[in-house]
Amino acid sequence: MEDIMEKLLGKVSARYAEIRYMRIRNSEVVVKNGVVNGVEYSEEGGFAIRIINSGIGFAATNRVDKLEEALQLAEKLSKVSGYEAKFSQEKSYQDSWEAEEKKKIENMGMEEKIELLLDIDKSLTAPMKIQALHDKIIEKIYMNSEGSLIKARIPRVEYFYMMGVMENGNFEQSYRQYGITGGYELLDMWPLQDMLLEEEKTLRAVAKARKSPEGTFDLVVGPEVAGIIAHESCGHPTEADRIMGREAAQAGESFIKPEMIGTKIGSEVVNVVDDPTVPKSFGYYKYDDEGIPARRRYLYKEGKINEFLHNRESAGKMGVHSNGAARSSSWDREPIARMSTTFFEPGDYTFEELIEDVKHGIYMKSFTEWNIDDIRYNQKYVGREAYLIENGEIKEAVKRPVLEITTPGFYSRVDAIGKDLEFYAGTCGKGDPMQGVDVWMGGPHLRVRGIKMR
Amino acid sequence: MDIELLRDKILKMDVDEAVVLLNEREKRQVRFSNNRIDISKVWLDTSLEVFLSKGKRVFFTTIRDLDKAEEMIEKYVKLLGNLPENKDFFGINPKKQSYEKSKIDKRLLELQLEDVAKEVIEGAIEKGATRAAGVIYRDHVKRKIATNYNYAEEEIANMDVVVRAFNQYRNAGQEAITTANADELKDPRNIGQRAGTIAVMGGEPKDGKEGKFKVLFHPLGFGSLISYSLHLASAFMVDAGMSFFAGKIGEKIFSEKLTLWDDATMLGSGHRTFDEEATSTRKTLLVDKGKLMNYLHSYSTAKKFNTETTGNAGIIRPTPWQAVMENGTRSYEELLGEIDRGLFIVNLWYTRFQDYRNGDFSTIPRDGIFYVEDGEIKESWKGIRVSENMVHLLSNIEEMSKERMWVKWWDEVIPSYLPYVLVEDVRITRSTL
Repeated sequence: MEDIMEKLLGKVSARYAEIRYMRIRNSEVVVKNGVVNGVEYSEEGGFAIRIINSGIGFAATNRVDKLEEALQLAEKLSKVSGYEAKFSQEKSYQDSWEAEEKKKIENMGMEEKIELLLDIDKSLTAPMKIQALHDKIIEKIYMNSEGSLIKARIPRVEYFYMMGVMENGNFEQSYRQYGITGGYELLDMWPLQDMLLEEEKTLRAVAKARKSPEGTFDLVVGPEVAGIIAHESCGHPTEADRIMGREAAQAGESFIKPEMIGTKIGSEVVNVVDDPTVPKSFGYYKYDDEGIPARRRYLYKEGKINEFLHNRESAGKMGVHSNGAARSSSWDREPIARMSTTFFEPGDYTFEELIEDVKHGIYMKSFTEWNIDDIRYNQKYVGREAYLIENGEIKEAVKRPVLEITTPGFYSRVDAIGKDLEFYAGTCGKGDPMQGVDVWMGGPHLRVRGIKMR
Repeated sequence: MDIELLRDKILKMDVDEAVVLLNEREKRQVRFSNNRIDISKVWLDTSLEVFLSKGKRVFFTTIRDLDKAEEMIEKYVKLLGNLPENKDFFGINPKKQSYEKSKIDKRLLELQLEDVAKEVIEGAIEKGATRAAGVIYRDHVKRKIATNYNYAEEEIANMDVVVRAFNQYRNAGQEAITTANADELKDPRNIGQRAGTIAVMGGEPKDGKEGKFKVLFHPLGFGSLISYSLHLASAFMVDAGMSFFAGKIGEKIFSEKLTLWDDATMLGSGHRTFDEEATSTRKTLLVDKGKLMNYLHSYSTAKKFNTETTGNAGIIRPTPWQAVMENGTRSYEELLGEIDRGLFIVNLWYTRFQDYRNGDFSTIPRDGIFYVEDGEIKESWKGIRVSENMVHLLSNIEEMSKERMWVKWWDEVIPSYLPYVLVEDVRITRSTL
């Protein structure tokens, strides 16, 4: 394969060229309300060619017999735009890496996977439930005209469920993803059956609970909520391509402007990082999809905007170096600036310490509906499991508290951060055509003072 | 590839039924932002989708290395016998189908996408926008399908033109049109002009206010609401109990003004002549004057629901192709004139449900949010959210325009042919801090 790729690169007339080969072996089983609805295996792969001359040309094909044609088309397309595309200057690297896979995907038979899902299904009494178990092995070869050659093997496993319960005519639902880069040690990391039984119990309690009261409260959010907030209102607005307007017509832009590095966004206790090197993380990688080594990035540091997420294109436009955030979701997508594992860094409070001086508060442990505007400024999170806090004690469960707040409004009122740390998996959407990439998001418990809740 | 031959070979293996679907695609894209082209792309892609069943045991695969197709299918057939039964599977459609000839406007294949992009950008700037971003797509696909019972093929082409224009205050306007007819792209500059016009209306946006408002939705924004609703009209979601349509067939649950079809027979970018089990597509009445008439079905889900397929397979998970909504008799301007104190919203995004069963959701207006007083646009707003219940919102449709537009946008709006829609009593919220 490398010979073919090298030969092709040698034929290109360009300021810069790269070829990426990806092969992805997928397997998935879906169980809906006790019935195995679908079993699927697929194997896909192909070549993505990116060439820079006056502009950027991109061609992808899964057909070896079309490779020459794809190369010629990419070269032609790189010359049709008058815009002088400029990538950041970077060192070249040669390496080969694979992510650890303790319990090999190939050793987990389809029968075993089906049995796992059916057992979970049988143990639940919820009338509405969908589960999916998906694994994949990604093999990549990346080569560019500057001498980089990176080979990688990345196994990933993901479990998804959606559940709905009805209590006295009141409906409550939840859905969650658990995913890792690795193998079926996922099942050792999360006791799925126990967790779903607990979730069902929680949903039934919430369905019977009264609506969360309106008013001003101190708010304590759990790691799952902290994670989605870090992802939505720190990770996304610090993606440099958004900041530069490259995603304007689709996923949008950012309230952050290029000159805002160092601007205060929150209280001094706030540190949010994005780190592709967190072991086992769903978005783990050692080199990004432009062959740049991965590293931890402090996006918000001590309450200030600190660093953006870059691929070589955005870094070139801003006159900086890439920090290894280029990811493409599949063999036929261009690498763009993406998150990996985005989370609030832990502080030093225990959960009890966070709660003990809250007189009148709400504990939002998890969330259901959420959304945020396309500059990542106005956001909404609706609590799924939530409780009142009175005089330092957790009290009754309440239904669907609503937090609707701006980004600086939230981050500036964080006054204490827990010492715990949990991660949750997600599929982050961006790009056109859409690129869903595997990510983790998380954090510790956070305490936020004086928030208006509905 | 001779897929009939492949099907015949598969049927000699240990399977009862098989579907073989070959897609050969050439897709082009141009993306632009800040008034210049960022990247030009092409995809040359061939894939083979295979469905196998033995009794109630079912298996899917997508194969991209066609040279290995037979070898891989042989391997999967061996696996099929060991799978548990899918009690919800009742076979693929055994009825002999007759197909409309697929419609294709080959003039689309001659268009230079970079030229279209430049025209669109210039159109937006002409109307006062300071910058424009967007995407031009052209999809050209040849599909062949063979099952135990049917064979069909089609060739389809369509284009999307999406432009989001901004004024100096970052007020945005968007047009996202989709078409399978080259005549509609004779003047791409006009598409940019429309986005530019919206972007400059209202000047600097002001912070929006909370409350209940009469809202006129642009076809693009209403397309987002319709798209999310149609995904929940799939019999798969209804059967799972995760849909506000569940258990409501025959009931009048929406405004009598709402009549809605899924119609893949119309020449739009959702046009196709057969579904994924080779059932011929059709025009399916989903809502008739507010009364729920149908879910979206494959042959198998239809059997479970004791009805007929609507030609929307996904065999296990039926899917909508193209939304078409009945229009009204009055113009967009007349509908705007109906608003004493309300809003005109161009686009919506990030629609999320907290309750699929009852339809509680929120979504965020963008690309043109205008406060309207006494029938006239007074100012542009920002920072608001529609926090609603879908059944409530669709029950409060007051009127639709006589104009309809073909819209499609990103992963939010499926190909749709929709009017402007006036809705009473829409709840608007905003951030409190």
